[in-house]
Amino acid sequence: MEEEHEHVSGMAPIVGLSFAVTGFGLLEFSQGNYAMAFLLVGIFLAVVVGSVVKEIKKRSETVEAHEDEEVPIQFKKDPIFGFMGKKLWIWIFLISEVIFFTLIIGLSFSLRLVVDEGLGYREIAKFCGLPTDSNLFGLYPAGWVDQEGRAPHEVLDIPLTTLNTFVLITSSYTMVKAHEAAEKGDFLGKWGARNYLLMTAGIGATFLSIQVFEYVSLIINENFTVQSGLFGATFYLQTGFHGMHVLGGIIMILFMVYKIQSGAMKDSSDVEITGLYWHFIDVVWIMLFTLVYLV
Amino acid sequence: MTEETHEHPSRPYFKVLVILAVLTIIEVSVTYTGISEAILLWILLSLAFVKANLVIAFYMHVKYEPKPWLLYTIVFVLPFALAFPMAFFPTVG
Amino acid sequence: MATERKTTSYWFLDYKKFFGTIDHKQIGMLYMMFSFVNIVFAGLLALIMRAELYNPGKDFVESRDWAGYFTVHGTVMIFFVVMAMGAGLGNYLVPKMIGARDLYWPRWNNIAFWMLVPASYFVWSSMAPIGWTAYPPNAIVLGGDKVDRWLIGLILAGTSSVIGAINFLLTVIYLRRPGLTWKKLDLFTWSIVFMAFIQLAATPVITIGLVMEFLARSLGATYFSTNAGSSPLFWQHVFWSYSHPAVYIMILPAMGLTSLIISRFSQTEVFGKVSMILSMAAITLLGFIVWGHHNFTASPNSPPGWFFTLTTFLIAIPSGIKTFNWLLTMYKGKIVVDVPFLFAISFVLGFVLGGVTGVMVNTIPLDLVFHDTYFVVGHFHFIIIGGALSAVSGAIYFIYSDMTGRMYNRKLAYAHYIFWVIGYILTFGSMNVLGALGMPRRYYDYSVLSILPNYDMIVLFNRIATIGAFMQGIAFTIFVFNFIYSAFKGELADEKPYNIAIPRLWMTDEEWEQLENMEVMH
Repeated sequence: MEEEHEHVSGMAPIVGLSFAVTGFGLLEFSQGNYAMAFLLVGIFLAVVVGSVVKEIKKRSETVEAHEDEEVPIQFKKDPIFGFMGKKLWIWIFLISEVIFFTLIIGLSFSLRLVVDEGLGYREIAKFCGLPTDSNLFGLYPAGWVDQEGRAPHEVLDIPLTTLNTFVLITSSYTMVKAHEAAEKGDFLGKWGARNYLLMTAGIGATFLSIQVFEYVSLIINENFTVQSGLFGATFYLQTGFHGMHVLGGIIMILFMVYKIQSGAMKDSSDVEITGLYWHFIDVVWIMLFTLVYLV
Repeated sequence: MTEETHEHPSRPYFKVLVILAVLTIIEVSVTYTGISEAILLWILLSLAFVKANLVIAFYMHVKYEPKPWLLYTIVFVLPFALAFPMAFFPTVG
Repeated sequence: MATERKTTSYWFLDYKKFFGTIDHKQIGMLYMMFSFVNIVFAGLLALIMRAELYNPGKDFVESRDWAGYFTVHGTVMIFFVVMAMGAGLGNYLVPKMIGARDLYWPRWNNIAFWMLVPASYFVWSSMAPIGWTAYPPNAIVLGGDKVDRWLIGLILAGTSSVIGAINFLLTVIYLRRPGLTWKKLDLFTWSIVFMAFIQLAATPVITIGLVMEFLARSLGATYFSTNAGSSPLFWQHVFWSYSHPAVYIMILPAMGLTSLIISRFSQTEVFGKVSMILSMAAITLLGFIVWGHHNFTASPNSPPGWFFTLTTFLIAIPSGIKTFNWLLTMYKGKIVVDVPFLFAISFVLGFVLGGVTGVMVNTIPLDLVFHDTYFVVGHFHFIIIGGALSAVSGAIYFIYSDMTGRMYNRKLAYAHYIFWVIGYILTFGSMNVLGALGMPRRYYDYSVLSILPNYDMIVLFNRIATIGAFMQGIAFTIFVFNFIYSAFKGELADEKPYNIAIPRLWMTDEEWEQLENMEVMH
């Protein structure tokens, strides 16, 4: 039975080892050679995109579903996870992501709670008998401010980000419509999954462009950078990680479009998986928008 | 058994979109009223909580899964409960 | 049977298979080989350090290299030896234990392994003088690219372990044979489930921390700067909220293996299986809320110390339950003494010694004295070397005939065992004594301690520790030699390599069919 399958993959070790290229890219980044860094990360992304496209092409040529796409019968009978179907992996991955973003937002906000006197944390801490004097040496202006003493709403462009929030929510809506269409089996029609996915990717790209514009104007006009105290550092950490996830989501959506186009899409579960990831990014943005921009 | 997910006549996706937009407008306009930061924080947090759960329940269709509460607990509540102390203990360090 | 195995056992000499294999057994063996290569070099670093410490004063290591040595030794041993070994044994055993043909994502499995190789390259090439804990401000103000390499290596290793964790969870959930309910699942697979959950849940924490340090170094962000109102202690919290759960990533698979080996060689069921599973669950969850016990002395505004002391004491309860269950399994059973069993006993010994010293350092008044001394070093080496690596060695001996189709040399294995156990007790026992005598960890030249009244004892115990370390070195050399030599020249294994009732860890096809029939009948 073992001889029937050739247990060898040519692409997998290349993808695995190409993470070394990303590593060298990060290393160049840390040394200030940004052009080289982006080139190396670009090579890595090209390898990943190439291998996924190759894989989708391979699957479009085979009629039967691929072996690891099938959900075994035993799994469907599982008392706890049996109802989940193929999308279980994305839910497992989302466990990791929930922790990741809870921590990024939570750690940043906890730093803010100590520094920012207006939020009423000190009263609670005093009541609970917890220490409150984090700003030990007082070298920095008190409060949640940048190096020039400006509070978030004085630095950040709230109307623009509100617009951006609407953009992302809308993309979530088109994504869910794509899933609805895919479940009906409508992939290529005018209001089919492919067009809705393309719309989602486009709106997602709009979101990213607005974010890049925001970054550029913050850095150039407002002199607000990573070095602008804890406020600046945590701002770029949170929104940057979120933006990278949006980028990943867009790439994932484009893979799905290609998969539909090439005829490798056998059912709606892949659209659903992409959608779950995309909506999760939306959830993260809702929390980010509130805690970073509005409060 | 799980095939029944194919027939759900109309899910209120557009309604949810409108509610999300309205809640966002409320959130943003509350910040311009000038109430004290401590109260504002709790208002905004609860609004954001409602919005996030709307997306989770309808767009991520947790609500329509056979075991919504189990899924919600395993994926959102438990990881959040694990991460929350890690995120907020450092402030007292 | 044996001849058929023989033809497949040299698969790794074919470069296409070596790089591209997606077979779980072969990737498991790749993980083990990777782990062996790393343990040889990281062990050499340890021996160099111990040799330098044989005499007080400078002998042959340059002082500027010293910190790099212990950083890389610690990091490599944790991420690329013990964790890789857990992943390797999981790869090899889990599909067999649950009756699956392979892991759920065979190709992701390969990708996760080959990601680990560049990761280890970055860590090895860093030689960063920061300690494996990378505390700021030291880790941030150091120039050059050493620390950056270290950070990049760990980010890659973390990504790899998340992929591996999702793969393991999917495999156990998706691919169990019909009839194998969660309750019937064996203890090793359970331990891998909990290990995967910890990897999934804890790795994001360290990723955030590493990225913060990376940005602080490369772009000057002020996450850990007192000037900006934060504090270097912030890093300690982030770091240890990952690194304490990480300890359980290393020890849980070893616990599972020990349970299996002890029950096989006692020829009886594991005593109190449900309590074993619940203990592992308790250890997993409690492991996330004990990290503050690393910071008892660090901060004047320390988080509520009593809370972390309490939770850590609570973790001693499931650990104790497990220990007594192992003892009772042996008590109830009919013991056959053989190599894997001896190593499982050695795990229990190391685990108890490390656990008891762990409870001691968790007590705040004692920790104020023992913090950052060799007592702590002795404590965690007992757990990881005496505990985890013993269990892993035992498991490798147990599945050796299945992996290679041949049998290892038993005499050499006994020699390995004797040198190993005596070696680690000498080394880490002396380290505990050294800590109590007041020797701080990470010292390069301890002649400054000559002001202490017990200085001659400090020198004596350092020498004993060095002798023990070299005994471990001999033990491991025997192990590696035995492993490689027997793979090519050992005698062919027969069906029953051990004289016990069930001479393997997994079920045979007939037993699977029996289980399935039982399921159909219900």
